[in-house]
Amino acid sequence: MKKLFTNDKFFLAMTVLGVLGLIVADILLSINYPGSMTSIITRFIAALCLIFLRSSYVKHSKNVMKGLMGALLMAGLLHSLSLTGSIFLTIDKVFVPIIILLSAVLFISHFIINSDHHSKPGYIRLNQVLCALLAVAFLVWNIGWACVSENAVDALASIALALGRIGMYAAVVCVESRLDAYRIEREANGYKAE
Amino acid sequence: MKKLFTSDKFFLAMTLCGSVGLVAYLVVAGCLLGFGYVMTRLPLFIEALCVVFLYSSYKKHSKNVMKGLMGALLMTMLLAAINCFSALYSPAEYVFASIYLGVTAILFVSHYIINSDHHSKPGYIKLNQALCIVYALNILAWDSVGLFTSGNLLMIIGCLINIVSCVGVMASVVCVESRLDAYRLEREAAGWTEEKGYPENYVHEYKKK
Repeated sequence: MKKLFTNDKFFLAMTVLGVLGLIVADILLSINYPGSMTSIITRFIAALCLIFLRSSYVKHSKNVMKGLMGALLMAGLLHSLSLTGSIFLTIDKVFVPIIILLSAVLFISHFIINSDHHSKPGYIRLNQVLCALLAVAFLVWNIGWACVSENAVDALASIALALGRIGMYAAVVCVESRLDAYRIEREANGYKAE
Repeated sequence: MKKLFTSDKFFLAMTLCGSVGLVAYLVVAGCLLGFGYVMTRLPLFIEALCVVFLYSSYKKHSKNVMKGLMGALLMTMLLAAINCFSALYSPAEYVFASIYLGVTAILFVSHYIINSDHHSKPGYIKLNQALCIVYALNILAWDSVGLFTSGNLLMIIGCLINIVSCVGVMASVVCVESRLDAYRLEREAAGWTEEKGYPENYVHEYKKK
């Protein structure tokens, strides 16, 4: 697991998956629901933030990374909370609470990892496991949705959206696991927080 | 302007306005529209928690947590501004909503320009402070439409609380931004550099107590 999330190619793949998934979902949903511009713009902003996260990681711009990670996690948490407004099937009642819980724990443990005084870098393992669980939950839920829906564009859009969300969370967890490694490297070079 | 946003009391007052105002707004909205409405506005509760943690992490000089929380708060403000567009009723609201979205988006972008490591422009803080005041005036104008036309006392109280809480959240973020710059200048005065960190035998402020 640790090797997967510190792998360069995996990070690039997850960023591309997240951006493509979110934008493809936007395009497909704008075909079927032309009136819902607000949620489409919301996902487009998340995709932009993801691109800037990648480029600021490549440039080692630590402060921008911290802010963008917080923004992306908050966008994911707000999206999961807004899912409670559209519960139609039994499968929704099972998976929506799981998704809300997982994204809330990811949000909180992000700040525990990054804290200056009470930092617990071991929580990164927790985050990696949670990200994998979230991926499984999103995929099972959206494949269930796709099987039920009667419209092919809807089915494709829900799967693209699930892939986009997974890519988004995985990219954030990738940066978290790298920042830790980055800190350990700096400490090996004699850096101290004070 | 600079004195206002770097004053300690103003920061504390704005944090209290933001956190208490958001919770009070949820209570008033629950009285007006029922418990089901409160369940759909749960993000506001998370926002209130974030404002409280922003203040406490500022007090503890926990820079990394501050950066993340500021990003999260600005993102909630931006998403709230976008969501406004799904429920517009009068032509006056189109004007207010587009000013609201424009100001919030510029605040979001210029936050990253200020905090950037390579292309940092601390002068943009003045832009942010001016935009924060424009934001406050815009919300005041928007809600005063509802304030003067409704006859319900609870509705009027809800509008007032909404103004106070929105302005409080945005102003506390801008306060931290204007302080981080000052904080950096202070650290540089104490001999801090980007590459080496603090000099040896330097005692950090929070360890002195």
